Amino acid sequence: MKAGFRQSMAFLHTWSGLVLGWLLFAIFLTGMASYFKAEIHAWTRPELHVAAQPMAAVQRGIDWIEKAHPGLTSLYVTAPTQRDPSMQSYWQTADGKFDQAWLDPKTGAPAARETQGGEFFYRFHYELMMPYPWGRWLACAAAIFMLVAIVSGVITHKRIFKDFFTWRPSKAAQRAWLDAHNMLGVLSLPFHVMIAWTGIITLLTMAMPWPVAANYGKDEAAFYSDTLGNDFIPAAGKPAGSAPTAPMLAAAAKRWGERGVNAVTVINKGDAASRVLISRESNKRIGYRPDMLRFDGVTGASIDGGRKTGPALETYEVMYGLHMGRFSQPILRVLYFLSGVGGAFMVATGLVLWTVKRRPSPLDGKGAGFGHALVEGLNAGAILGVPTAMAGFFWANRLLPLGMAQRGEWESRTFLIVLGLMIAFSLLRPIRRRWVEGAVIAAAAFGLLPVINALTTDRGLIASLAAGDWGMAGMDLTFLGLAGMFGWIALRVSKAPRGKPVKKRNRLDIALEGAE
Amino acid sequence: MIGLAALCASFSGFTALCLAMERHHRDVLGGKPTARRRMLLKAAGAAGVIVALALLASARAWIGLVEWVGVLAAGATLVAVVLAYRPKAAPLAGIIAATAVLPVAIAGFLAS
Repeated sequence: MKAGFRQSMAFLHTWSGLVLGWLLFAIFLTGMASYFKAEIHAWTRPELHVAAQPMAAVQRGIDWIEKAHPGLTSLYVTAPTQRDPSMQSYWQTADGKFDQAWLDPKTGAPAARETQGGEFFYRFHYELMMPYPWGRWLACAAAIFMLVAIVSGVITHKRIFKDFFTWRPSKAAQRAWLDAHNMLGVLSLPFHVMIAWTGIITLLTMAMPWPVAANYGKDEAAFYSDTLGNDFIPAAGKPAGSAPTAPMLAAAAKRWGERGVNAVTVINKGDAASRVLISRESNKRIGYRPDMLRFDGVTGASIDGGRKTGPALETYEVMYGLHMGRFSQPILRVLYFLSGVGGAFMVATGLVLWTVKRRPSPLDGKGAGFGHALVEGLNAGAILGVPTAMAGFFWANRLLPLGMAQRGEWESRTFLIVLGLMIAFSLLRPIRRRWVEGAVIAAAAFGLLPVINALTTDRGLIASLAAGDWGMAGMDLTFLGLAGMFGWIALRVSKAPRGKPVKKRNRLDIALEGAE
Repeated sequence: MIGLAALCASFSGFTALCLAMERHHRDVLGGKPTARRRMLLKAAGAAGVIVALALLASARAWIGLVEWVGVLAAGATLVAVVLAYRPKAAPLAGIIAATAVLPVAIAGFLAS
């Protein structure tokens, strides 16, 4: 029975990993990028600079939104920080439509360069650029498949403790790939289990809607107001004046520090039931629940608030907090990022291993089947294509004309276009060439980014290093590092041994030589 | 700084645990480890892991626990890389890391 169980776990591991492997790879990479969302926001908006007085900047933002959209019913503005100079803002107009912009802290008006910035990767990570709710469903499914792959992988890995430190890069291909896949999986196992599990938890009400449905029927809003408290009260329908927000911001800054404010929300503006909520920048605890100051929107008086608490909600908040990692100090954030890199490599080595293991031997007398060739092509297309597409997004950010209509949309489309081109390219080129050429393209895509940055803005790598701007410099240095990594991959693959027979060849070695 | 000290502790601990395994001991130091040596190495390994936890938990409470998990993964990965490319250097690297723990930790506590 035991042998049968391990084998069935191996089958489960292979297929749960393979079916959504490419998607998981993209989710991993965009998730990793999201840990540096603020730095990406900063890099993609080089015209913006760190605000010396964030509260004044927020007030300018509120003033601009109100002036540009009279009659709006609600608005939301985040404060600029040291890592991200932009102010993300949403507002809802009287006809119920939502709109958003990133505002320049110096003027309060939208930043000159229309872009989604770091938000693009963050939203891709859980929405996959698909309309609501389909993208989230797919991401949720991917997370569940990942958890299945992890558990079945651990069960199937018989020598998990014996092979804990074993990595033999010089051994025959299949063994080396398997070693790498195992090592990347095992050494960061706590992170992978945590990230998959907490990822599902953040989409909990989507994955398991039945408890809410059973207790609240169709009235989901009641569930949310019962658990999260009800700050978002409905409008009273009676027009009333609005108290100025500047004193409220000053009060919040006095309490939490000038850089302690995270965002301002104004609800039911111009109505008798208007509220102003100011949330705190919270990175001191794992559980994600920001402190809030609440004000009456008409009188400006401070009021007590209603976020309930309890063990279930706190557990959810800790799990959500672990996934988001907002509490992570620089070193921990780098560790989160590196664990994500490890995870992406784990998925990539698994995908490659699947094809290497099943490459048909010429002794069989038949070539690769359609399925095998398809997977081989999609592997290179995804593993090299997703990073290149991410670089493509940054290229578009620098090269698309500033005044262009729908500029932000076009940056996002560039990601998809580049990804599509890389996949098509991969499927058309012969097996070894596609990896070498694809890796060279990826290396060039990243390596040229700092050059384009220096040529099109005044915040190139030299300038940001001289100014001590580690956010910008870090991004450019990371691009160069990634270029180096892809260059190394191209070199390794092109130099990989071919042809010359070794004494003890097995079917796999023969197959590798034949697969040109 | 304390994070760096914890990383050193984790790296030296995992080096010891790695060398306590017969296969790796043979590759790096030559020959089977005696039962006594295995016990000492395992104890040193456990000590490294626990010291890393103590440093991070004392500096940053519950968040330190999350950092500890990350530091363990990073330390173990470094050991695997050293073992793959420069196995003979592993024992020396482990000893250097172990001696670095105390001074770096003290520097970290003084700075905070």
